[in-house]
Amino acid sequence: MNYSATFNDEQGIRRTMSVSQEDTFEAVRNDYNELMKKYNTDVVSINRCQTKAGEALRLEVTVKAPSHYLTTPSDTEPKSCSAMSATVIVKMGYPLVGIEAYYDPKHYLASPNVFTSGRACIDTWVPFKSSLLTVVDKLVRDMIHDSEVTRYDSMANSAMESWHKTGVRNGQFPTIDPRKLYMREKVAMPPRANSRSAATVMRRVPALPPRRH
Amino acid sequence: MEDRLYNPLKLSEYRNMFIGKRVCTIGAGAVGTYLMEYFAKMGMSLDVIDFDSFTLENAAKHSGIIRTPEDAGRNKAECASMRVKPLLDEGCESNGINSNITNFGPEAFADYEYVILAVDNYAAKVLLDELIRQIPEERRPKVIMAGTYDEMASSVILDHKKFCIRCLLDEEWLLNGLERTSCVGPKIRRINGNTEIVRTSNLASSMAAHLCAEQIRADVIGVPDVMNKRITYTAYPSLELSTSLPMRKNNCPGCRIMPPQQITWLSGSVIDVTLGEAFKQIEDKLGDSDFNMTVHQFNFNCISNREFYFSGVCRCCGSKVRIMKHEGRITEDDLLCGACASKDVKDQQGSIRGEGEKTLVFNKDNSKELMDMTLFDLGYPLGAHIEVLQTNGAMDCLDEGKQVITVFAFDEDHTKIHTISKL
Repeated sequence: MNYSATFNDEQGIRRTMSVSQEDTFEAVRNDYNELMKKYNTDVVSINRCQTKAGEALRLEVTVKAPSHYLTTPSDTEPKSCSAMSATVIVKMGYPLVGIEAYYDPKHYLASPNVFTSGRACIDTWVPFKSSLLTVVDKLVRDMIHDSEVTRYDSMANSAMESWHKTGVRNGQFPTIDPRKLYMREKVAMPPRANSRSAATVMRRVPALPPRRH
Repeated sequence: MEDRLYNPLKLSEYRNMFIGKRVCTIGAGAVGTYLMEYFAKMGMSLDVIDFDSFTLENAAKHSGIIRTPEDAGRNKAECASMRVKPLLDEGCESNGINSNITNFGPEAFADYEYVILAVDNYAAKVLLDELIRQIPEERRPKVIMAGTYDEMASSVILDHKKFCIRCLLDEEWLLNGLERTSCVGPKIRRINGNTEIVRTSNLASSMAAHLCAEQIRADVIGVPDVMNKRITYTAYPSLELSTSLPMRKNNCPGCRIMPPQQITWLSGSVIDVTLGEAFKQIEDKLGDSDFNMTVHQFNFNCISNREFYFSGVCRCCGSKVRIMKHEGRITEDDLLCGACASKDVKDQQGSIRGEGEKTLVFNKDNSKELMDMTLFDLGYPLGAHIEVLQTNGAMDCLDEGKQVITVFAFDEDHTKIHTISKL
């Protein structure tokens, strides 16, 4: 089965693409491998779950950091918790078909960007710009109430706006330093330069010519 | 006086070569009705699909087989098929189907030698391209797209080996695929900021049909180098006929569509077989009861329809409404609750997407009500390729090689199209 979609790309140019099942599998594999390298596993855990038909991948994303949750659609009083989880569903047709993300409706994130049904509001899906990586990144940063990724202009739960803004103003949010979410970059440093090497030896400045009178 | 319709002594010596050939014409409009007349007289069997009805103003462009004013208000396909019956040669058949092209799957067209596209919107052309590309190459019919623009008529015949229908369409034209179009450009043009309908004459329409019929005739009798060519007739500014060789479009989404590697046949037709009966047949074929049947998926006018809705939200009051329909068949009226349906709520706008209870698959855990519904009512079109997924313990697509997808089709679908009158 092929999936076709017409969309505006990053430059606003209208494009039409179609992807096959093999394309979807390859895109999912690549993005999943990148995802596994990206986060600090002490704070962010990502586990595969059994998919249902029509789904290519189903992940449970958990952030072990202070967060806040709501319990019913009418609940407006956020409660504290030490971890928060969401389910991410990548459907067949990815990356043309967008990703869906849900919280447990009885334990969903208190955020202006989460619907009262528990569905996470992710930004508009732009194929080949949006990806599993961008969605998971938005989710994990939402879970620590990082205002850098919160969109107040298009709110899924406007009842949480003032609460969220107050938290940000008081310095309570984000609940942890967002840098802690990520794996430290293990970039091999170049070998320390030898102090006696030619490159580091200070050359004596030549004497000035005698002053002319 | 002879009582036979066709005297072989006075007709083409090649005429016998057309007897038994089957043609499907999609669209019984200005071009389609002329085509039906030509095909009937050529000695072919023909089926025609159209959802629209004749109006009085159609008389100015349509073939003389349509009677005025008595045919006004009748479905174009049913009416044209009936009118052409007296012209059919011995052993030839004609069937008109009052339906939309979205109700047909790839196998519905696999029984034809030629499929003619005489429709006025690009969304239908792109969908037919997808359907034809999903038919295995050895059973794939040849396609002819005929149409008009101004006083120009054009017809392209293709076997999908060098290019596809979508290669012939500018992607810009597909932005609003439902806009009235012809095969050579949008039928709305803008001059000095004013919008104007591109006018065509009955001569251009009949000429487009004539070019199409000539291409079929040449192909049947074996004229060399007929395939994958466009013939264009222009009446203004000079009267001329020209041929050209269309080329494959760069990164054409249509050309990327491939047929399934293997199709497993089930007995019956999607119109008659219920979900429960289909499950039994599939279970027998697979020797396994642990599988999921994917809901039919099709792309129309740049929208992917692939979910079955159990319920939705009333577009007027927001209350829950029962739907039980495939996403592609839901109408605005389906999104009204009983109370709101009795009020005048024409101005209310709503969308089904993202709301309601829906599913991407059917499986053995579905309710009895669902199991008793026919596959057609569940959204599978006539001639559908039905995908069945066996997970075999695989968690997801990262478990390579474990998941198995089998494509099934029903063996009576391709003949059913010759007898049904409405879908």
